[in-house]
Amino acid sequence: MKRDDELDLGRWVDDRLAGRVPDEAWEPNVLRGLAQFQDRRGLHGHRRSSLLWVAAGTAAACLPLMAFPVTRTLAKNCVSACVSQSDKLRGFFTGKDKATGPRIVFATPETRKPAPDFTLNDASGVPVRLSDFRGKVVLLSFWATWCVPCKTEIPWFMEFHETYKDRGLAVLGVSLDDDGWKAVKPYIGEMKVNYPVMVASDDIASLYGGLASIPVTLIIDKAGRIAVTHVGLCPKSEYEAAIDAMLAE
Amino acid sequence: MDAVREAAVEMKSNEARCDIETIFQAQYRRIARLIAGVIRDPARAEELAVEVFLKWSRNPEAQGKNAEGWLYRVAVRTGRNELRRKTRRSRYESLFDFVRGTPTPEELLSAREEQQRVDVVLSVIEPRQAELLLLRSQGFTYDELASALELNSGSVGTFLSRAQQTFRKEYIKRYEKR
Repeated sequence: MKRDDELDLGRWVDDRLAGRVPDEAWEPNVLRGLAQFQDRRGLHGHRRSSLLWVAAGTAAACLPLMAFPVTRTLAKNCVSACVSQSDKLRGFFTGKDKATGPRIVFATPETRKPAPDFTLNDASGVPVRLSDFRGKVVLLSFWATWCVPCKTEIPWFMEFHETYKDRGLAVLGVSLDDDGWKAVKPYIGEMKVNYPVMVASDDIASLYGGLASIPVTLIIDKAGRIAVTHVGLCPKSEYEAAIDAMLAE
Repeated sequence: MDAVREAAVEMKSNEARCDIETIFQAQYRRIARLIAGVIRDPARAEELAVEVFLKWSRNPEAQGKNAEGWLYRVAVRTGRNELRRKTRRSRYESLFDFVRGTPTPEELLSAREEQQRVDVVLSVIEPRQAELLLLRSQGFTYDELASALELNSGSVGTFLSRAQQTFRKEYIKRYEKR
């Protein structure tokens, strides 16, 4: 340390840094540098204006799309699909997958309420009265032709009608279509629906609590009381288990 | 009238472009040499000098009265950042020396151990002190140092002396105190 102290600080540092002075013979190529500089300056301006054009074009293309009901609905469906998929993914990772738990909830016999009675005509004009099915288990489905999950359920209900009709199950469909038979008849013809289908009158929805969203599926016990009210779609196997349980009561 | 105004605007923009290119031609050599002095890599120094001028040309505030000072300050800072990157990289590479095998005599000769030590010390001391020492080593006068680093010209000597002390202390701590 004593030796260092004796040295002149400035000279000591200059000695260390002396090797950093570039060779006098080396000359930076100014023309090449200038050419690169001009190129990149031009490129920068060009790139910025291109980006602005792309952004403006995208905005111009997107705005009219959002103005149409069809494209708006498409966007809404995309968002819903993303939300449902992310829910599934979250359920998968957290182990709380809603789909794995039973969705159908049974009311105990003592808490069941009587199903409001109604009489509606079926597709061929024959009146169908709910209370006529007393002594049978009734699967009552509220649906509509525009409802996508309903389209999934209808073949299951047709199968249940075939499989369980001899064991005491009646399947009834009540459509909530605003266009009535005009929309429903071609639809059930195309789907070859094998169980009685009716079109709801105005007061039916209020009898059953408004039916704000569909599908709504009710399972009515043999005494005409509501044992299950399920809103939305649930796995076919759960419906089967519920019907089996109700028929065994 | 519009045509006259357009012509005036075009002339003004041409003038601005000429100014920028004139300054480029006047200062490029010194900026590139300054960076080369910091990073000891002439080819890379030329690229970085272009970067410095690009930054300058996009920053209207830097094109004022003290444009030269701005260019020197940003050049030395750019060089030091490159030096820090190089130092970091060589540290990681040294971790994998066993993979590369024994260095050849040429590699050993070109190691320039002393300069690598200086690189490391300049990378770890306070940036402003490193910049001061690097500019001074390139022959900058006190006035030029004051202008480039925005210092009071009367206190450049004090700052320089403090920077030299820090440099020596760090160097000795790392390489001579064994």
